[in-house]
Amino acid sequence: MATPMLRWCCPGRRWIFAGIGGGSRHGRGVPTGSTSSGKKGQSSVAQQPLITAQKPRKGEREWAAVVGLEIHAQIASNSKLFSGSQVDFAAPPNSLVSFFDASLPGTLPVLNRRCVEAAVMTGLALDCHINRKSLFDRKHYFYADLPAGYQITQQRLPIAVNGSLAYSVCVGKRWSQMVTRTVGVKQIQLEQDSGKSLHDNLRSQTLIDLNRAGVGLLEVVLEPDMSCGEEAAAAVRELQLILQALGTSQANMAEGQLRVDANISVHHPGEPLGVRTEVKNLNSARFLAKAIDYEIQRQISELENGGKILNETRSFDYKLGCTVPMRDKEGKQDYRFMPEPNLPPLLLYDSGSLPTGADPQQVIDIDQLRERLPELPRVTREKLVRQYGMLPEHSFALLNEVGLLEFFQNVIKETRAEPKKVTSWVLNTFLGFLKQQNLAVSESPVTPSALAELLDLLDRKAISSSAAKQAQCVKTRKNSILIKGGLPPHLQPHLTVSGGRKVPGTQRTLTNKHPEG
Amino acid sequence: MLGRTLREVSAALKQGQVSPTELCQRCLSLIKKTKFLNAYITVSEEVALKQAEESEKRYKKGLSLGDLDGIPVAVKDNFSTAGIETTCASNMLKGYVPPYNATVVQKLLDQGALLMGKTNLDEFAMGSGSTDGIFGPVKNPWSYSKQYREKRKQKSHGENEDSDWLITGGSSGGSAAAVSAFTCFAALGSDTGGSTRNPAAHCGVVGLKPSYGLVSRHGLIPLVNSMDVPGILTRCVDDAAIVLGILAGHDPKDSTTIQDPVKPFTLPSLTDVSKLCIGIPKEYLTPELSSEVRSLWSKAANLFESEGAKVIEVSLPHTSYSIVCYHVLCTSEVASNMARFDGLEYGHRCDTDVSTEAMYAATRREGFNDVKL
Repeated sequence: MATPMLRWCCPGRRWIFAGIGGGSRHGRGVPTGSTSSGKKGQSSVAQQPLITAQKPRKGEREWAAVVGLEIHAQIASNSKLFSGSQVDFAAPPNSLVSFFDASLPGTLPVLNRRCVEAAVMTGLALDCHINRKSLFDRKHYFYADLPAGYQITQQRLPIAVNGSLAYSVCVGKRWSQMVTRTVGVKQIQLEQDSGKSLHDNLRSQTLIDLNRAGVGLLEVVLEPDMSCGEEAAAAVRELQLILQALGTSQANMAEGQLRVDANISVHHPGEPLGVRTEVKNLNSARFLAKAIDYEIQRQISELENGGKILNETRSFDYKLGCTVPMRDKEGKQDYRFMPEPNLPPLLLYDSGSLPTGADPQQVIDIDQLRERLPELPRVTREKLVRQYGMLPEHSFALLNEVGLLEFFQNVIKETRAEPKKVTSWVLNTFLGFLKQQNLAVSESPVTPSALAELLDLLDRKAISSSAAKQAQCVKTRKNSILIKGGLPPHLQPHLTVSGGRKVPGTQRTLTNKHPEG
Repeated sequence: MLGRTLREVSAALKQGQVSPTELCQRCLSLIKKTKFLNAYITVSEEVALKQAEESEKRYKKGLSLGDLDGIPVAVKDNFSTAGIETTCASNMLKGYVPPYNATVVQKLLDQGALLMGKTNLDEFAMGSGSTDGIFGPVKNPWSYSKQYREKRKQKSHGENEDSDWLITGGSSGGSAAAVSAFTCFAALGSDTGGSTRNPAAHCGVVGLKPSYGLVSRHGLIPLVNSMDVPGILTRCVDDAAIVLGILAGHDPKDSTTIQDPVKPFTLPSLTDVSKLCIGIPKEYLTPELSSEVRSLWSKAANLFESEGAKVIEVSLPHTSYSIVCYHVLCTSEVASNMARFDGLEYGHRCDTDVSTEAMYAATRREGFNDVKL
């Protein structure tokens, strides 16, 4: 399915709300778990955020929003973080549950090497400091999808800290103006995923599927350096691309492989930070920015109306388009963190500190992993700009769609047309066509060779550009491609191409005749 | 025969003086006779006889698996045994039949040992008397010794003899009683804060607590993960060494076992103690120590000294903090390890189905017992 295009974002956007009756009283102060009467639970239908470019009028004060993110990415590994059961999204319920996942008494966790490598690689890609020693802890709470009554995580000393993530947002009204922002990566930690609960309200029961229980997660904590939904969405998007390029996570939000929680607060510039709320389980790329912007707006309205912001957990109601308090998570939870006694400290090495005679199966060499890091999206984009002279926003667009870059490169290989022409065709006509037909690149009936050939024809002026643009591609049963419609009849039968092989005689026919229209 | 050491019985089996089946049946019949000790929760008669049959076949072919082949053993009921109920002497796990064997149990079975049954304990191994399990207390075999009976008869008049018994100590009381009563040649216990050594002392048998990390805890239903170890109870030190040689070693399923390879060993027969230096921690000589224990201790120290060993005083300065640290660690880890008992996946589940929270609360109230510290 087509991914959303990059969104427009106002740099350092200021939120201005025309309050009722002049000055505003706003709630500040310490986060509490207590609730105030009346104000809690308001969930009005979302209104579009009021974005104005005007200067604040007299009597109105500016608001600034602060957004931090906690992103959980499922690690792409064959087996779970601490047990040997398989990781598979679509398996029948409770078919991938080992004794340890089911919390049978007496079972013990055994760390998965691939998951550790995934964490180190992600840490290196995000310029983090990799902790040579990291520790595992237990985080306790009772819930039906957490069989052991605790989650194994890394609270005291995570595997990677202090990195940064560079992402780009469009500024101004046109696509062509892009700026790079960075958000700090506070830490990356390894932890277990929980099982899934399916609430069956009809029969007043909850069904538990433990297939996901114990799957390895990378929790990436982004510092509250972002100021609006658009920035958050762009940061998440870039992280997604990085994880996919590394192969450490498929990071598909629709399949639950990437889940985002946002911490949001508002304050007047120059004043201390406001009380923050947590908006949990933003599982859709489309609604990520919307949900964050709604919450920002909600907090501003609340404060402008003299209310208080509660330090609470909320979820986003997709149907209503608003955030609502989560009933399950009222009050502050005491997770009773405790060191995980069944797992010794995780020690990582580099080529300088590798113990002599160490079994390579039992140790991880950070330097080796660094050498094997795949090319990051940022580098790929820079190369595209250098090599093909395309605009930066084009390089973003090429990487934004699964398979598009490969398609583009294959067309480049086979065509004589200029790269700029290819770029324009791929990004406009081809991509436009796919979106119209609601197809992914992998489902495209047009092969790179076919498009390459079309561009060659265009290049030689054998066909007009309008004719080429009107060309509809139809896949025949025998897997050959007929380009029909918009082309003069005398050319049609000669353009049957099967899998890249050209029908002999086609070339001569084309160069001899003049196309019409 | 039942009173012999492991090596002696093993030799007898090899020589055909006794068969595994005979040995098994004798132990089973003794278990029945000593039922009043309440040492066993589950007697796995069918399993043991089948194992005896297999062992017998091996001996006939001259292919014994080792010193433990055909030897009756018992296992404390907090070790997972595949297909055999494992209760931890708690309502929470009554009827729970694990689908896998603990590593140490598997190692014993791989050596051809015969599993007589699962022994009684304090509930979830929390206790030092073996009196707090739901199946009732374990009685010390020595309560039924002639000497003790004589002494009691003189002192008490008309008291009910049934209620006159001594505790085995705990929490591995069942295992200690089983070994002490000759119903098996070796038993597995567990030791967190003395739960193997304590009952061994009470029942007059050898109790060995291996160093943490030497023996795998996979399958041992945990109390305190950072302190638990499987313990070995036998009637002589040599037997304990044999069993340790089989059980020790790295287990990939237990990340806290040491990776260094472990070689089986034989204890040297020690006749010359002049090269030994024995330290007695001075902090252990507390005012609360009974005079009887103190005099026995001195007797042992004097014995070594008179035979030429060097006996000196040493200091373990943090001794007074140890019990406090133990309690902090113990209570935290126990609370954590018990969190998994919610009735959802296995074990006891209450009848309430009003809500998940209500179900959890009722299940845990019904399944757990009071903890008497």
